[in-house]
Amino acid sequence: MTAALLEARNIARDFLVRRPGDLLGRKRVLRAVDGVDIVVARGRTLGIVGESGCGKSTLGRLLLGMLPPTSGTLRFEGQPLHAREDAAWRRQRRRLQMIFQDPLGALDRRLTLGEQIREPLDIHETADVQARERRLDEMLDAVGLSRTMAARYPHQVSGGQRQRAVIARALILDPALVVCDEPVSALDVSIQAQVVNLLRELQARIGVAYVFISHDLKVVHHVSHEIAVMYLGRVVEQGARDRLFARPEHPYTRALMSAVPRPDPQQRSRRILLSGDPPSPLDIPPGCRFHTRCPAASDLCRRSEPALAPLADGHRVACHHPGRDTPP
Amino acid sequence: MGSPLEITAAPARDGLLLRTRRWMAGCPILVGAGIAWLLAMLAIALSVDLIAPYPYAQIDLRARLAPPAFLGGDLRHVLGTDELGRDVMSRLFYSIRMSLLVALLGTAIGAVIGTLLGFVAAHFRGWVDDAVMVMVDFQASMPFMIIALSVLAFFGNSLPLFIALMGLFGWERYARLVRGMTLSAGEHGYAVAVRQLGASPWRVYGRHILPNIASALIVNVTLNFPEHIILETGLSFLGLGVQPPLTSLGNMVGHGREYLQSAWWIAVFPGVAIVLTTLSMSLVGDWLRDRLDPTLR
Repeated sequence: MTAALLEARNIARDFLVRRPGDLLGRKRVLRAVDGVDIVVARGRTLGIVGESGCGKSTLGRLLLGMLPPTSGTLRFEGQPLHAREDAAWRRQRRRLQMIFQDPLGALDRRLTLGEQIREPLDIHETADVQARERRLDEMLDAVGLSRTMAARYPHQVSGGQRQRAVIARALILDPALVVCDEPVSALDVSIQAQVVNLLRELQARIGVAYVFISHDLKVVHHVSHEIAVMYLGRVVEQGARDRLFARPEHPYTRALMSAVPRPDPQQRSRRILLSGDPPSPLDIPPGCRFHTRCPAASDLCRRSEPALAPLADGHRVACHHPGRDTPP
Repeated sequence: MGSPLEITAAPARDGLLLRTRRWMAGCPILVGAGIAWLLAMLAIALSVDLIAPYPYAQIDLRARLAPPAFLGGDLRHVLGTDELGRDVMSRLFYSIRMSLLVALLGTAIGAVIGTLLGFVAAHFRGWVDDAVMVMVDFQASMPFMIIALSVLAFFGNSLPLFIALMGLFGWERYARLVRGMTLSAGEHGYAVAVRQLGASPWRVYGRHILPNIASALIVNVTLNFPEHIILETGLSFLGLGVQPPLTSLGNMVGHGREYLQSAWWIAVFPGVAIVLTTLSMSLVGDWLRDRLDPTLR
């Protein structure tokens, strides 16, 4: 195992919200991320999966220092991660980058792609202008954009090309870690594969680490070395990709896995259907937070919340009855 | 999306004239006329000392209330004279300079103050934001004419004070506009992305947000500029703006009003200048906004 690049210890993040229609009522605390431990290794990819609203985007922003955690500690390359916008924070941006879901929104429509890809170099004044131009050319090559393409505005190119530009902008400073927040879910399926392969190829070449946030298990399976499954602000299962996909332990992970379509119609797996919507993060159920929808829930689950604990092989799961689809 | 040919054709280094002509291609006749009129006004304002036939205060008592040349007057006073025998054309030219100067400076001051305060409010939030917005609401809830009257009544009248006062008119709209658009840009999208790259606030606001909201600001300027002319005219008409012997368009209309039945030319020529200038500005501004937006090309 390579040295840890980013280490998050027990981080949590609260938001103060008003319930809709409750104009004068007291604000309530929404705990979007609730005590998460995460380690990202150099040059590896950590996939984070979960339903919408489970806190995975908030976690991504916490890991980048774009949002200060309410509690817990974050260390990046051995240093505390800055989360306030000051000079130290700005310097740390060189090593930490982000790729966004909506490439059109993430690009300034009044500047050409080339100007925007080069902008990190201009912001951090890395070298003289000629060297920056050379670096821009290298980066355009690396992501497969031509010079004529770089002279266009974001609305003049396709979605895939825009996302390539966003990737080039994120990688031009040679960062150590890039958080990809649903980087392909806004793209056509045919383009998704191209962009995902490009991300993997660049990782192999420059050794950048990714935190890859997605709700799409196929894509996460394709890019990740390790995967964390989130439910209502907590990691419920975490482990190496192949172990997780071969033998998912948490009933929630098992349900997610069973929903992935398989290419072979002979090999039919039993679908585990979850009933109902996830509970509101404002009213997290007592006990195990998944028990309201869990097919294997027992009395124990309604009373006490399981901690994320390692099994014999180091695979970690937060469940009283790992590996079961029916109550014990 | 345009045809590939159009996009890949590299912009050759053409002469300024050719490039201007290409940039102007497809501009409607009315807008062309507006630009021409504004350019003419600007030319008059800049060269008034050279082209005005007489100094604006020169009196020719033997030719008082002379009609314009095309109504039987003589060619020495092409647009006629007023009750003191002052040449209307010369006074019109000087008035155009004065009114344009006051309105341009006033608009510019208001736009700069309002934009800066809008950015400040959006950047700092909290009590700074509240304070700016209270000032905005305060300004917006007071009829500006009353503010102007009281300031001029208290401090007397001088041209710099008058221009500063005009600068206070309309800033609140820029502040509100800039604050709102900055907040919405800051919540998602390119502003977050650029800030995340480590850009300083100066870069985020100056290089990214300002160009993106500039089209709305330009529209606001084009609405604001005619209002400034009209405000200046109104105050001068009431005798509170530009003071004699200086002259402005409103000042001319104001004192020409008394002679409207016998010598209409004193008031009508400056009136026409006001209408055409404000109209041209609005037309050109609308067209400019569309032209400056690369996504509408």
